[in-house]
Amino acid sequence: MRKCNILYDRIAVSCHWLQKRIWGILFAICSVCMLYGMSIVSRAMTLEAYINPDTGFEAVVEDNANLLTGEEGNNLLEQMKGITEYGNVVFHSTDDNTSSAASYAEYMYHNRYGSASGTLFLIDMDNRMIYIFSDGKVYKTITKGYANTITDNVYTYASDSDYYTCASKVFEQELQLLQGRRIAQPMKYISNLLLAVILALLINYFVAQITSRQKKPSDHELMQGIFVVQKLENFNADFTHETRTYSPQSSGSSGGSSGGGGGGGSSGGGGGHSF
Amino acid sequence: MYECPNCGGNLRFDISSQQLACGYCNAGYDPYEIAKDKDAEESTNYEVTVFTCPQCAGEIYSTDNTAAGFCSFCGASTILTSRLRKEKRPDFIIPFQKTKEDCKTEYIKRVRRAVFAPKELQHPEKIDSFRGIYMPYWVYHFTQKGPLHLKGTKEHRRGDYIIKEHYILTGDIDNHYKGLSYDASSSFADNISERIAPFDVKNMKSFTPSILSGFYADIPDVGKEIYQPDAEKEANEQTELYLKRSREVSKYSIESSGNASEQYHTRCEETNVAMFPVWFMSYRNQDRVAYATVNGQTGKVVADLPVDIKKYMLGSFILALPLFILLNLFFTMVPVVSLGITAVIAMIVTILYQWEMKRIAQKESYEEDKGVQEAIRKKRQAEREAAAALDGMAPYVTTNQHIPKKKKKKKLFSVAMWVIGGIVVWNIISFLYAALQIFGVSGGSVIFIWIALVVTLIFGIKSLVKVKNITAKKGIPGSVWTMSALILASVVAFIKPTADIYYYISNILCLVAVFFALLDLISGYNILATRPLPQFEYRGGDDRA
Repeated sequence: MRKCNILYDRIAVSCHWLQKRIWGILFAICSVCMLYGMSIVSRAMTLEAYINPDTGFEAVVEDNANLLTGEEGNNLLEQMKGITEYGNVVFHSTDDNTSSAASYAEYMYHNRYGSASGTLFLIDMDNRMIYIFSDGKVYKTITKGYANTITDNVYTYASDSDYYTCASKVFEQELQLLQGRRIAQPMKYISNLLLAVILALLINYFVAQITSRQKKPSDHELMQGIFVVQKLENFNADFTHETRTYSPQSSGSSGGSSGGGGGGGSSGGGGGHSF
Repeated sequence: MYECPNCGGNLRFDISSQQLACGYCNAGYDPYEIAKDKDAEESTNYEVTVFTCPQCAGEIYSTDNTAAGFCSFCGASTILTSRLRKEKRPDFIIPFQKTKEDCKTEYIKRVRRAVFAPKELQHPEKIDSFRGIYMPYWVYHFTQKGPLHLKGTKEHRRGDYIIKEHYILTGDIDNHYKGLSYDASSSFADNISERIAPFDVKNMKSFTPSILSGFYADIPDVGKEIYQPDAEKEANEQTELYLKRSREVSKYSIESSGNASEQYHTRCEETNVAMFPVWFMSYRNQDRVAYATVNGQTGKVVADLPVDIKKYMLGSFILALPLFILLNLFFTMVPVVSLGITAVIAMIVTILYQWEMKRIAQKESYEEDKGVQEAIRKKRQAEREAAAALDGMAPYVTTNQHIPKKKKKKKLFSVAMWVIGGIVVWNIISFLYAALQIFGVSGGSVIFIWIALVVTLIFGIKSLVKVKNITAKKGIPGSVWTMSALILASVVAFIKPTADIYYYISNILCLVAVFFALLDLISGYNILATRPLPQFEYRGGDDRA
């Protein structure tokens, strides 16, 4: 009996110890979750915004991937204010994206501003991509081609983890374009020049082929130069037999017209670069 | 030489008056009147001066014995050796109708259209070297006379059935094709004689040697049997065309049956040798020669027009400027797309290269020149006979069997290939468009590069097989450049480096490789547009085996 009591006490002590441990583990998990949640909140908190009183366009820094320091965020916002003369401007970073950078950037912009004029620069840490999406009036200037050029010019900063300079250069070049100035595109010129030379050589090869082509005379021309007599007399056609092949005629009506044109689709566009 | 009955001067055939004219007293004579005095002794042969080039051994002859200062076949500036010889008298002649001035005008017009032709081709001294040569032609007369017996059908629909009515079509045909002509000189390339045609044989005159005075003539050395099947086929095709268009037969679809010559009772009634007028000029550049010919009756120009590489490069750089501006204005390509475009260009260049090498190989093997094949056959036969005579053995006789005959269904096959090719190209374009939609521009470009690699390797290897057998081809074949470029592009596309510099460097290297391939393509074009220097070890022919 006494032995039973001792065993019972030991079990009770063990259970209590286990209970304490479990609570401890649960507490630790909860703490981690809370900390993570707090970090999410803190990231969501890294949202800086400015509204241009004259145009009503917004400048937003939304650093969800926590790539910028507070000071960098403020400096970037200062720089972005110039673009609000022309449209909305957004810096957005993320490290959780299940879709492509292009569709994510488009979704983020349209979700916030619809098809209003503006531009969004995305740093997608999940896909290791930087991407510029523009819409409305701004898209007429910062076209897909220019978006590609700008991201080509700055992707090396992202590769070196210098995200602030990367974003800063993007908005600097965007503002240059919106102000009607030019941006440097050295590699584009070099490859376009070589491509132009090769295309010219190829085109001229066809020109040489065409301009030296010498046609053979047609049968008609050949026959005109010789003595030709062609006569067919006493022609007769005797029917011998007939064969028939089953070939059902198709029923009159056809399927009618297929569906109408698609919807309006999304406006805007952009370009990007991996880093 | 024909002497002027009035002053004893040299008589030459004057194109504008169509008479023999004396250069001293300006008297004019009917060529047939003069011929009667001079050539009546012998009706089947006549005496000519044969000029032989000491460099290529090419021979032309004339009734005029003025020493020729250059060779028309190899372009060498040299005094041709001359000797008298009896030649078989041709049956007919078409006298020159176009003067040398007409010929020059037509030629200049033609050469100006060829923007990259060497400027030497337009040099007045070069143009002045056009020489009037009478080219020998076989002129065939075919008849088709007899009962016609064809099977024909008519089709119409009755309800759900297509009814086909079968008929026996009968009648009597009486067709004549007189004047189907094919060149009888192996030194006159078939690809020139085919294109310089037609000659209007209705204006043929009976031959008289005096018309040759002031001009040269080439010697017929190709047997009449060589082109007879071609002439027969032409007559049959013309009859088939006539029947299909005739009011009575056009209602029926004719079922083709075996042998057209039997069906139409085709017979070769007569074969004559006629001399047709051609203005001839040769342009020599190192070990190649280009010929320019002008039909002496109609003025039609057929010329080998090589490309002057300097002109071509200059023209390309000038054209590159607007293209560069256009590319910058309307296109901004990410590096991988740029590489994809280069890959596609490399692929196109490789396909063109393979096609060109195939044509050069065909030209070098004389597959399409029956006259040269016949000359080669004769030469080999003579060599065998000589060897057999030395060994005391009987020579074996070669036949024309090795001469490739045109495939009967070549045209149909060609049409079918074009249709299938069109469908394949359409499917490839659809596939590539779908790939661009699914994988985006960058992903699509990578697919382009892979497809271009496969196509380039297939055509590149095929071209290398051809190049191996082409003697005129020197240096690294163009397809080696394009294949290397595509391999490099596909490696970069496979690695997918983040840094653009790798794409740009590989793109620049690929473009440089394509540049060299294009230069080789142009040099191949020049091989096609010119001919090797002739070596007339045997009589006639331009390129000796």
